[in-house]
This record gives sequence, structure tokens and C-alpha cells, in this order.
Amino acid sequence: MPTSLDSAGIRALDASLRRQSFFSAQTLLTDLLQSYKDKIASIINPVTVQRADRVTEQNPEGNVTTGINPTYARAGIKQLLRDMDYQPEPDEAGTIKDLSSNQRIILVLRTNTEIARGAGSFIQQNNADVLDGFPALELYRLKGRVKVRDWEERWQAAADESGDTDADAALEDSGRMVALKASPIWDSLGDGAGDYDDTLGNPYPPFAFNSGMWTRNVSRKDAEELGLIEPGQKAQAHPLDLTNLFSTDDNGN
Amino acid sequence: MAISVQVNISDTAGPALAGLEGALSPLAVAKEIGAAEELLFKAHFENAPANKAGYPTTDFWKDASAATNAKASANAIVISVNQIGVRQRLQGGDIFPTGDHKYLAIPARAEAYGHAPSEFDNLKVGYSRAGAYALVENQATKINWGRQNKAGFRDFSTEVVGGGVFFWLVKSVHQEPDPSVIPADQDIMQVADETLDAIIERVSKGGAS
Repeated sequence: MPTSLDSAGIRALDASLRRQSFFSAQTLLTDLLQSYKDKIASIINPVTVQRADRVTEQNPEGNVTTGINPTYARAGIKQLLRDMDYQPEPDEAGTIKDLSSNQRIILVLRTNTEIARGAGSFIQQNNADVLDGFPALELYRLKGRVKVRDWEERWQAAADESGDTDADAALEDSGRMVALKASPIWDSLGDGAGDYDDTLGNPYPPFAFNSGMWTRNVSRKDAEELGLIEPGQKAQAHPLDLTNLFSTDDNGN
Repeated sequence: MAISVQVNISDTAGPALAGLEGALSPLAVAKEIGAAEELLFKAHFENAPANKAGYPTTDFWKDASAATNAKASANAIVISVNQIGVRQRLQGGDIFPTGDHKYLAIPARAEAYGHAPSEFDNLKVGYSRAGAYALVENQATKINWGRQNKAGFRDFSTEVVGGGVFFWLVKSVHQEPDPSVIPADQDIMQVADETLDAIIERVSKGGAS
């Protein structure tokens, strides 16, 4: 989906459309987008091959993981732009609007890679067989950031908007941002409850651009102690139609 | 799938499940234990020490955590880490250049860490008697401007900058296996045991498996 929208414009799109589309703000270069898609697919789905020269005692089958890492994905994108004689606008060189800038390439690679991983985790976390043992998720900081956003404030705003008072109380009581998997708080977080305009519209991480926050399973014991679920109460999955999460559009995109 | 670690739970699960055979689905039990093992692996990766050189982090192990997932069958759980580099650190081995490349480029300073040589446009090959040994920053003349004098001219001084090694060039690298990359077997088994106990307790009280 080549688009000339900026990030706010992308956010305004219907969330389901965005989930199905590979996006990069203001990018009209189809070859570039294809290159991004190929590289991100290789990052998130590396392939194992067997090589005789890699057989060791610890690796008797000679398995080697092949694919691309983010460093060489970034270098490849830069090389492609050089091959295309891409020149940024003089006043945009080196900024986020410069398609060849580090920060732009990192943002696109990181955001799309993490969305794919977040969606994959979301599907597994909501598998019916793990729901009762792990009925809740915790929002936590996976990666450090220079500028740290106030996620507790966002959590409270999302709890207010979604009406999940238990999630709000859990934060008050324990300092942990934990809610049941079925809670609408995850949608509110992704939709920017509290008037945040940097979110990505998904009920799974990353909830916002350049966010270092992620989710992890929370055991039933912890969820019960936090007052999120009663003993014996059956846990529910998030209502998002998971079967359509990775469906394709009419163009096969 | 990049690298996977198979956790065989049959020995642990078998005796304990015998009394609750009708109430528990082996696949459901394996999936729940898999979710617990996934948490263990993720926490292990997230607590991995920073790179030895002390360079700014590339979040390699945090990404490994996000790339970790569990898949279960009725008698085994497979923890997969879909990320390049984890297997190499776990199992070790020799690394050689691929394709048309003659050398591996090893970062020699913080600015180079997490970057490919092609991302720099100011590097040249440094040679010793033995041949190419490094990618070295081009030297440049830096002009330091002073104040404008009464005649309207500005004083200046010059200095030569650059010339430092960004990447060492080597023909191969050998890494020793590092089993501490993943949790210890006893920790993996402990998580399986604890999760199984929790399942049995929950089911025996009438909850779902």
C-alpha cells in the first residue's frame, strides 16, 4: 500500500486496513516498499539450513540460521536508495522525512517488525488452551528509551475509557499494568485513549511508534491475587477476530 | 524457524497426569507449560548481560525475547527463537564470509557497533604487510575558526582528524558454545513441574485444563 500519508494520517485509517497493509509514511517508491517487505520477512522468519562445514559436537546437524539482521537490512535499504539515485529535499536531509536517513529506516524496519511479532504473540497469548492458566497480560518495558513516555498515565486513561476498573485498581494496588486478555483496555491503549496521537491502532504491542513497551503472559495465580479473575472463573480470549489478522486484500497484499 | 529448544515433558507429566487422565488434555497441558517456558526464556533473554565491550546496546536480546514463542504437541514443547544470531551464540562454531566477501568486519569502536561498513562513506581499507587488516576512517583536515580580527578576517587553526580503526577485518571467527544463552535445564524442568502442579490444582478444583 504505497501511501503519501504522514503518521497521523496513517493512524486515522481503519485499524484493520492497517493491519493488512504494509505501510511507510509518505513513501511512494514501490521498489523500496518491496525491499522493506522482503527484509522484514527475513528478519522475522529466518530459515534454518544444514551445512557440512558447520557440524560440531554441539551442532551435529550443522544447522545454520540464515536470513538478515536489522543492521544489514538497514544497509541494504540505504544501498537501494543510492542505486535509485534518491535525493532527499535539501531541507529534509537527515530528518525523519528523508527516506535514506537512519532514523527513518530504523523506524520503518523496527515498527513493522515489531507489529508482526506483536501480532504473532497476541494470537498465541489468546490461544484457548493457555487462557485459563494465563488469563491476563502485563504491559511492561522491554526496551529502554531515551525519552520515556508515561505509560501509567496512558494505562489509567485507557482503563477509564474502556471501563476496566479492575485494571486501574491493579495498577493502584501493585504498580503493575495488568489486565485480562479479553479486556477492551488493550484496544483503548492502541487507539490512543487520553488523546495520544502516536499510537498504532492495534490491541497488541507496539502500541505506539518507537515504544519500548511490550506484553507478557500473567499466570492465573497472579491474576487472582490482583483481583482480575475469580477462582474457577473461565478466562476469555480477546474478541478481535484473530483469523482475519493476517488476511490479504484483493491485490494479495 | 530459527532455533528451537525441545523440552520433553513426558517423564514429568506422565505419573502426575495418570490420576486425572479424563480431565486433562495432554495437548492443553503441553500448551500451558509451553507458555510458562516461553516466559522463562523471555525473562532469561531480557536479563542477558550487555555486550562485553560496553558499546551502546542494539537490544539484541530484547529482540530475541520478542521473537520467542512456544509450540506444543501432546508430548513435547518446542521453544523457538526466530532471530539470527541466537543459535550461533548457543552452539558456537566458525563463521566465514559469505557471497563475494573476503573478510568479516568486526566493530572496533562504539560508533561501528550495530552498523555495517557500507553505512559509512568515509572508510578505507588499511593494509599491513600481511594484507588488509582494518577499515579505517579517512583522515580529514578540520578547520577551527576563531574570532574576527579588526581587519575583518577570522583567525583559524587546523587539525587532522580521523584515521581511527572502525572495523577489524578477519577471514573467520570462531565462537565457543555458550549454553548459558538459554535457561539451565533444571530451571526449565522446575517451571514445567510448577506449571503442572498449578494445572492439577486448578483442574482438581473444577477449573478447565
